[in-house]
Amino acid sequence: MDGIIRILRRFIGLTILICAFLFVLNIVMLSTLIFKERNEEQSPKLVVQNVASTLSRTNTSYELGEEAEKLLSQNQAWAMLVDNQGKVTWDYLLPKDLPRSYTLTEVAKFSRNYLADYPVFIWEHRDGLIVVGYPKNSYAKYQFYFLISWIKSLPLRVVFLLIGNIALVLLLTILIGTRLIKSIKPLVSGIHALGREEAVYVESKGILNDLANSINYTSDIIQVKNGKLKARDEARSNWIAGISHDIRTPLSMVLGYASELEENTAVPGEQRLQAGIIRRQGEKLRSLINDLNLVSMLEYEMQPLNVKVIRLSVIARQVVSEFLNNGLDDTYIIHLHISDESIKVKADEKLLLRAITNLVQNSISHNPEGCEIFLETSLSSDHLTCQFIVSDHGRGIPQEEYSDLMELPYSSGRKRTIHNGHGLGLPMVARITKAHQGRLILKSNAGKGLRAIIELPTG
Amino acid sequence: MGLGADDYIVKPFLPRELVLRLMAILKRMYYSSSAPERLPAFKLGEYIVDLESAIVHRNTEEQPLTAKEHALLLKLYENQGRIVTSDALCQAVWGDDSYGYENTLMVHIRRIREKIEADPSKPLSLLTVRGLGYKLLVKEQ
Repeated sequence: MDGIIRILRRFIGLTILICAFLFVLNIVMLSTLIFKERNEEQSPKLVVQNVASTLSRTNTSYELGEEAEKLLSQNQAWAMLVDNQGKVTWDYLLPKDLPRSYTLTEVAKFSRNYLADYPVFIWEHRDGLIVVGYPKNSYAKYQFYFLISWIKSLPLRVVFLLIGNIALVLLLTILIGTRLIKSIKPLVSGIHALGREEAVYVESKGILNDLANSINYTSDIIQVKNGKLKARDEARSNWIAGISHDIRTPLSMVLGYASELEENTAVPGEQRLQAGIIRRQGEKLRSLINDLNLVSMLEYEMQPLNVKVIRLSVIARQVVSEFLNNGLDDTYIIHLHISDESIKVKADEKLLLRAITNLVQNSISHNPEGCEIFLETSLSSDHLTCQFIVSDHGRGIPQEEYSDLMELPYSSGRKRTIHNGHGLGLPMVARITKAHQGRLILKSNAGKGLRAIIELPTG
Repeated sequence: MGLGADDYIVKPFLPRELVLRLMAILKRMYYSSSAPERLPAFKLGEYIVDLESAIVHRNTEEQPLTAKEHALLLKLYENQGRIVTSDALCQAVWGDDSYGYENTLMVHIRRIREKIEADPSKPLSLLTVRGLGYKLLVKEQ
């Protein structure tokens, strides 16, 4: 909606700008092209003035100045001097068909209109009236009369006219703009919905028909692709679940008979030990399958999260006591440092326990000669995230292997093969953290220990 | 489970695990038929803790256990030899969302020690695991 209003505002602004530009342009054009006469220097008024001022009396005749004569000949005009009795006392190229004396009425008439169709212009002279005539059909003469009040109110009227024009422009642009927007609006909301990958159908009509059709088409494609993607994820996850189920059945046979042999006193001791090895390897396989299943469910977001608010300190203590209860070797020392008892997160308790157990187990199994392991909890300064840190003083891992550790073993993104373990531990931690809207940060230098940080939003 | 099953086990499993689970269920059945919910009694050095009657015997002396002390001892006994986190103990006694009872828990543990330890300051049976919780050692049954 914001975008639409912005478009409308831009549209109106632009239209007003164009109008203002046109207005200024018109005024400039008007004043330069129309009101300004092309031969201003030779306008009838100037010519007649020139004639009147340069016509001088010498004894009984008159003499016209050179410049005035030139002007007259240039304009193919004639001139005459009518004295106070109505007689023509001097003339210049006066046409033969014109009378040589005029009555008062005739003077009054031609002063306002034409003298025998000649446009004439008059000016006062010491000895009478100077009349300058132009060729027929060269000038049009008009008389204007205005009421004083009309002249006085003219500026106000011009202002009103301007305001009216501006209002009209605004109204028209808003009207046209809203109509345009009305046809664009469904398209805009359609495109927004496309961004959210929702199913979209835009009614197509008018000039934007093409756009509407392609939006609908894109929406269909996205829906189909999403459907396929989902189906593929589901198929993969089902495939892993199915495989692991199929493996479980023979595995329970293997485990069952192996442990029966192991406990059977009739079997010689060495064979019983071998049966024990089979059983232990079988148990390893079982936990591997469970892990694989869990990781794949997390990967495709099919693992239901049983989320509740829990305190990090509770989880930390639980993990440590589990390890101690299960007979941790004396070469490993676990330090627990809880900075704030009350840090709470919204999380699936079992999954979070599993993630932290994995991290501690990693530290243990990658440092077979023993190490110190530190568990810490801390709160970020803005109280929005909290961290669960598992670090050790062990061998650590080279920096270039970080990215690999988060990838599933044997996936295309993993460049190196796994060294020991089944390689699911850290990928599982990373996916559990991701499922809780957190992230897993690894910091290490070879030989200086590993520091794994689980960062979660506080609950 | 909702349909009336007592327990379930996912394959693959070890036969021993199955046997243990069956034994547990059978034990429960027999107990409930003869003496319903009979709680155990156990020996801690000179002391005999009878959880059924909530009494600690020493020679001829008898000391009663309060409800909270009884609940704590039961939880510790169920996990004997293992560390029980203070959170788990609080939850067993005060229920869910029992944050903030740590100091109260310490007082109760102290009281229990006064009843079952010869020297409460140097406990032999009810040990503190620093930073984590407590552990009950039962040497003889």
